[in-house]
Amino acid sequence: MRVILVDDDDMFREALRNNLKDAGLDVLAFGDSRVALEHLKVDRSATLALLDWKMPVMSGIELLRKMRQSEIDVPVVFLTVLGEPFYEETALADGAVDFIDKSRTFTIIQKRIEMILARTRDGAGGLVGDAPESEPVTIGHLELNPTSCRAVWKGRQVDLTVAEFAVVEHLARNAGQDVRYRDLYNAVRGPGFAAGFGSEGYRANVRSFVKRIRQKFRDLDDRFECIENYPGFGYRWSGNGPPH
Amino acid sequence: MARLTDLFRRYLSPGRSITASLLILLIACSTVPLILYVQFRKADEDKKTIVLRAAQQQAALIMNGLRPLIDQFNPRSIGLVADAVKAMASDGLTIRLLLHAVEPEGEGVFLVAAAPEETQGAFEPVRQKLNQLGLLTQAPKTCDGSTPIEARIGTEAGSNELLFAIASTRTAAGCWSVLTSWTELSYLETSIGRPYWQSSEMRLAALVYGGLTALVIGLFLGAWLHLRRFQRLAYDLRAGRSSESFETLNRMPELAGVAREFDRLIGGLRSSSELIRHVAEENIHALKTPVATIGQLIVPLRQAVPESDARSRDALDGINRSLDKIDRIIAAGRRMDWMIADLLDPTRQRINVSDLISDAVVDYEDELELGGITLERAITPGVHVRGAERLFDAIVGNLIENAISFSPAEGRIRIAVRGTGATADIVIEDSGPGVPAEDLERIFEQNFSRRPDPPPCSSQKALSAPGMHHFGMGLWFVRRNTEAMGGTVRAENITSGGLRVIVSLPLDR
Repeated sequence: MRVILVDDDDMFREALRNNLKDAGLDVLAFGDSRVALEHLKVDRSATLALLDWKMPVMSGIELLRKMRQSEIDVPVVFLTVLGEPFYEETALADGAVDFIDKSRTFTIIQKRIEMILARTRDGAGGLVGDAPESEPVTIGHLELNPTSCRAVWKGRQVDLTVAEFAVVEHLARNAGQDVRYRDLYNAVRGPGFAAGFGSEGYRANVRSFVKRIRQKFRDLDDRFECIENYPGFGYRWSGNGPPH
Repeated sequence: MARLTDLFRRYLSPGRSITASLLILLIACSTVPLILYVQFRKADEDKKTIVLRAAQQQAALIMNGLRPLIDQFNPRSIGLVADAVKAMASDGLTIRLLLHAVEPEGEGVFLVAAAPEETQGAFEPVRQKLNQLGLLTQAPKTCDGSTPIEARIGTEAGSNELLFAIASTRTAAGCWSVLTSWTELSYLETSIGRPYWQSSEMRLAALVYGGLTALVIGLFLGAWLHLRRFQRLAYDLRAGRSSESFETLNRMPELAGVAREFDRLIGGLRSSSELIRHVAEENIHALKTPVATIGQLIVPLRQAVPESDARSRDALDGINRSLDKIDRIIAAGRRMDWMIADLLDPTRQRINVSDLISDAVVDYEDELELGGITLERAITPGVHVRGAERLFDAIVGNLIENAISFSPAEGRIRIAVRGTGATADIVIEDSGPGVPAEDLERIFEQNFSRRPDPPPCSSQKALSAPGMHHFGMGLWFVRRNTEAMGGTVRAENITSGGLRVIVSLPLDR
């Protein structure tokens, strides 16, 4: 599993590369996106690319576009400090699979990478842990393709990150049932993962996921109301939305 | 009442307000003609009196001239009388010599002679008019002296005669009357026999005056309409509905300078806003990258420190917590910078208030649970306003945070969203102590605090919702952001206890 890491900040790049290596990944790090592009053109062995957004000469988003132009289809994850929704929307619309805040802890970054790599393996016909869960799901107007992590609502693609997709998928597979905050959090981070510093920190995390997910659906459909909240418990995917 | 006085002062202050000046102009334009009309009509009356008196004397003179002939009148002398009448007539002057029969009264009048010549049939409309005026019954009764008459009679020939005077005298044959009249052309300038306002001079004056008035009012209205268009554009720019400039909108060269300066002002605000966003982004990048790097550098340290070394583990935890705190401070600073940029740059979008508040409420679930506070919601779905989402988020966050911080344990908070007329009302009620009446307005002021003690929830560690990390200026933000979105905010005490804050924003239908 080779991971390409492109970041112009030497200290961060080195620190993350070492951590990823310690986690058992084969990491190739570049400080210049042009050099990274040239490498990717000749060496197609990479299974994932982690890109910084803001880099001199060629930004991460430019690199992603040039990769796609050169038919380099390796999944791309943005690892950046730019948190405005605009950047995330642009990255996902241009084909990135995830958008992670650089300042998140290594464990979170690692979990997200593992999730993407696991899905890539599933898609390639490799390890399939739970066969039915890799099948496309259709619930009402929602279509989910777990292999490509793509969600479609009323015929239009919803640009979800891998983690957001995991939340939607978990809710949709349990449509009509109340799903606990903890279960939704486990779907993203894996069981037993501690979030934040408060004992209930994971709830805020899930809420922030759901808020972003709702917004993305509403950007496509102003009347989207399929994700209902049960105060103190969690969320539920309701096929038709709550009764008016 | 104070608002009415203020409006009155603002809009009806002459010299400052176009409305007041326009009102004065309209009053002047409607009263001045009335005054002038009264004066002119008086002058016309005098002129008419002179003309009528002259006509009366003329009729009397003609009667005196004809007197010898009518004294001797017999059927054979009718030719002599007719010749005499013709000799006395002149251009524009018509003379009719009439003989009144005794019976039937008013009906038996004979046209003995006329100059220009006239048949009995042509005389008929004149006779009828005289009869209407009662002259044919009156003249034979006294049959003496002369009277001026104001009347207009259309004749068969189509000319319009002004009857001026009738002079009567009695002979053995009966009562004779000389009726003199002038055609309208000869006395075109007089208003005899019609209202003064119908005279040609009045019509001309009214036309000129009306034209001038229309021109002046048009000028005022033009300036006023331009200002209104400027106002509408300014509103649309603020609401993010227009990208037009004042200069392209303006049609009045005199306002070109103003329009240009407005455009520069907007341009300045936009570039300031862009600069703030750009600097904010650069700052975030500069600050967060080292935070992220430290976060990564700690990972091998944690792996290297044995479980038994509690002190070093605690130190690493402390570093992690501090990093988390710095990250939150950076995020709060970014929100603040972007909010300032949003205030400067009037970029607005359609916001679903109902959805945003429903989402925001969920963010405070933990805080509500910790405080044992019950939340009641009455959110009408589909209420929309136009504004910047960040400004609105800060309004809602601060309102909820404020309500939570003043709610007693096991208290109650009620949030309502509804469309009322042209506004979207967001109402939040708490069951706290309320506010003294004299401070209801002051709670929205910067640096005004009514918290003698730390809020009930502050001792809890798990305050993770966005609103609990606001910048300590709560309701001041609420008012500033609400006003920036074209709305108003007010607070009132609830009779049964607690405070009600009502934010009203213009509805976007």
